[in-house]
Amino acid sequence: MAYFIFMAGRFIFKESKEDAVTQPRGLWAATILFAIFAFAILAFDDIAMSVDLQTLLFGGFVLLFIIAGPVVAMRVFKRACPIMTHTMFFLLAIGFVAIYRLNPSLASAQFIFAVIGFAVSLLIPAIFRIFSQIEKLEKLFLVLCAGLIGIVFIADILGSIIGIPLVSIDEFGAARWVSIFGISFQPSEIAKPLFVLYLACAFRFKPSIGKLVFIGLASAGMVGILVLQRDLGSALMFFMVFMVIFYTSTGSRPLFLGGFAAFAAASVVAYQLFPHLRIRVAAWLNPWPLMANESFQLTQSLFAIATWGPFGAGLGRGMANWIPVVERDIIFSAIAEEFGWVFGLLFICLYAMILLRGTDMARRAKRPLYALMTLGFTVFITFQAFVSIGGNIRLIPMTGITLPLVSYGGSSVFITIIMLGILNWLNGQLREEEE
Amino acid sequence: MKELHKNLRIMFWLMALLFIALGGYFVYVAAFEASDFIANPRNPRVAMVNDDMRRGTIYDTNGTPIAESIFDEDSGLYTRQYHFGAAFAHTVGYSGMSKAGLELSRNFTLYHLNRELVQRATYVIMGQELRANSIITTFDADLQQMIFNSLGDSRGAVVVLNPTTGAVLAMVSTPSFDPNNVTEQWGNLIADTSNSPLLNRAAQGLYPPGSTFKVVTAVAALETSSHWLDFVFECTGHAHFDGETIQCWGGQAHGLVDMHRAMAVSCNGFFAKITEEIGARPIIDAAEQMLFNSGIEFELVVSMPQFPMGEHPAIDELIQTAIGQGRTTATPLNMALIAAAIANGGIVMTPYIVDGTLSGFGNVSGATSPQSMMQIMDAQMAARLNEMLIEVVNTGTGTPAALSHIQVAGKTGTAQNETGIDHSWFIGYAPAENPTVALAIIIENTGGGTRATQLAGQIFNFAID
Repeated sequence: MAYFIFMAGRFIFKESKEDAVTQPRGLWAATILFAIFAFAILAFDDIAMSVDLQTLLFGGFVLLFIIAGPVVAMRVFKRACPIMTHTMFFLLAIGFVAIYRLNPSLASAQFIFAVIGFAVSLLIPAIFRIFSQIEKLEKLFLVLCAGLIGIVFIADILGSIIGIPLVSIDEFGAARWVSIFGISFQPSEIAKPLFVLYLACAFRFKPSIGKLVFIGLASAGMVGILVLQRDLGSALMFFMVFMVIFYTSTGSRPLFLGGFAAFAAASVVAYQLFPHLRIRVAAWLNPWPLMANESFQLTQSLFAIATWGPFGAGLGRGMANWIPVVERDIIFSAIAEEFGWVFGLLFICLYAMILLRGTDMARRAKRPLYALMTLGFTVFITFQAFVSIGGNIRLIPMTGITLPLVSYGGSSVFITIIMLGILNWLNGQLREEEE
Repeated sequence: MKELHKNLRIMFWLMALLFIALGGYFVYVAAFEASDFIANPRNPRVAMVNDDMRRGTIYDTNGTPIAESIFDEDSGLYTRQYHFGAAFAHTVGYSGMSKAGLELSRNFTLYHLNRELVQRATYVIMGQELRANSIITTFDADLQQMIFNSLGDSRGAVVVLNPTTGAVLAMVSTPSFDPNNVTEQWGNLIADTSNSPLLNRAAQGLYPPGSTFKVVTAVAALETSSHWLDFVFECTGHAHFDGETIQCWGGQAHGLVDMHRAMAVSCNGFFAKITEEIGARPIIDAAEQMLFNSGIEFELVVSMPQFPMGEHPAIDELIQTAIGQGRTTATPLNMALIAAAIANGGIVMTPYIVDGTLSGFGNVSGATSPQSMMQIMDAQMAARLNEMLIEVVNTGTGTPAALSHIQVAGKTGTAQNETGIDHSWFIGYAPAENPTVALAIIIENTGGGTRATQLAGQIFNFAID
């Protein structure tokens, strides 16, 4: 029964997706319909023939958010990109459904973070109106970004000196969270947009050799600290964004390839240094003999995506709760298990759409600063999606990085909404430039 | 700015490539690679029970149900029934909290609802039962039952297949167990290590091939030169090779024998002699050509036939290997495939046991089309062996398998083993002029004798009409 409604719901979604490019209203409707059907299925218990009110209540809040959100966004951001906005809300809705189905209490926390993030993102136009000369803040961005990344490092050392652990270590041995005054957050997430802003400013002209060395060293330093904290996923993100912005600005192929060669060399060194990285790679290369321990998460992820075929198990009928930290690391597999791989493929296309729109926007930009900013944010979001999904399906080793907008993770969802907010603001700027 | 646009486009394509790889690999894993690993016992979904639908039936080739879910009005639950009891325990397997055989490898087919939307709708509106897909196997249940009964209390295995298609008609392993109450007897089954009733001897049992291996030795010799057909050896019952002695069965002297005669009477001395002449390399090549030391792709778990002899063996190992002793071990499935290849002009067809899927609505899909696995000898070689194997049955050790109305061809074997009591082998096919049935039989610890050969005759008689 549940599956029947779900199938119908998805059919409508696909129908409306056809004209989504020309008529964003279709996307809006699809998001709303998806949320209605999904929460109806989650709330309805077909054995007891009863309806869970708590689920309906949460579903109601989500519905309110995704109905009102795009309208507000379109109004606040003059000429926001409708595709970006609706895609963001659609991904958020999928995320709320997937997390709620796995763990309802985490879903409410996620929802609150998303709402706060959205509210803050509405201030972006006003903030940029005050600081209209973004390029003058180059040094500030650098200091803030490096500071945020350094803070974990320093707190980690400080904590070990005074004997109070200030930094929490996650299950992959990565030091990511800092708790100050009872609020814990992930500084490397907050540093992301600052890093893009800094690089965009620094590379808005082709830099001189001296400047290039400085930017390179500063960036390498930050990546190095992230690696030392064993936050290898974030380190990879920062590296990739640096390379993309660097190449787009300078067009230097030898240095670009050299960068990747240096990265490869550094990977080998890291492989030798960190035992947990070696385990990761071993689990990736040859998961089946290791599936009792090392590759348990990965093999269970593969079982989840592969067992049910093109249309999935049906919402609520999968067994993804078996996988440890599924809400954050393996959310894609949990979605693909219940919605099927056809939906999974469309889901990947949503990120590809952000990539397409983002680079198209960057191409339209008349100022290099805006082009680089747009590209930087786009790559940050889409490359992160690539790394997360790629890890789930064994295309690349698993990193424990979040899937933007969908995975459970307060800092991550907050910052991704902000980044998309900035992209929306940039879209408005580009349109103005064009006129 | 223009250069920036150019660079931008390169970066876009770089990212786009990553996404194309992502989507492509995802579909590859989820749609194509999936069947290779989803039946893994560590997949918790295997143990899942869907009480609201009827698990698919497993039929034999004539539409007789072998495994079926029956609805119990009192409990409101389905129970799985195996109509042929222990006869299909190793092939069809069982489905309880743990699964095995086809019940494991096709678990998700048997749980899959064809046109799920329609079925769910009629279920809700009209209360019609949800029926998952069924499986049609290649087994002939009557043949399987007959073989199972014939083996009785003996330990042994039989593989019967169609040499032209690779369809397995029967696959029996004894001792067996009753899949209807496997959970209750589980403790006893795993504790019985002397009989290993859970082991599928037909595909996993590794036995010394004994004299059935002479087929391989003959191929090795004829590959080096067809002149070996004219080679004549005088058998005195004992043959000496650098101080090593090899005896024919019971020390019997066969007199002057050529290859045809030596095959028919299973003369050890002859095959040891030609092996001494040609050396180890041709034997290794022929054995590896005939699927030793390589895996076979099969629906059920198989063991790899072992041929560990190196290129420079001691004379003792070389001559023992030539007559199927030494360290060589084979599975009954592999020996059946060799017999089938001789019957099929040298071509091994990929063995299969699932013919197709039958949906809850009664339409068949996914019918298996026969595929040739490889050519393990040329057609001329197969024809030569055919002549020899006919002679084995007409005038040699294989006479107990001979039938009045069907020309049987085959090779007997007596395998010495560590228990001290010999195993009895027979591999062969019939009718020799146009084979439709090929088989391999092993019966453990018969102390030699003709039991396997007699059973072969019964099976051909039963299966060919």
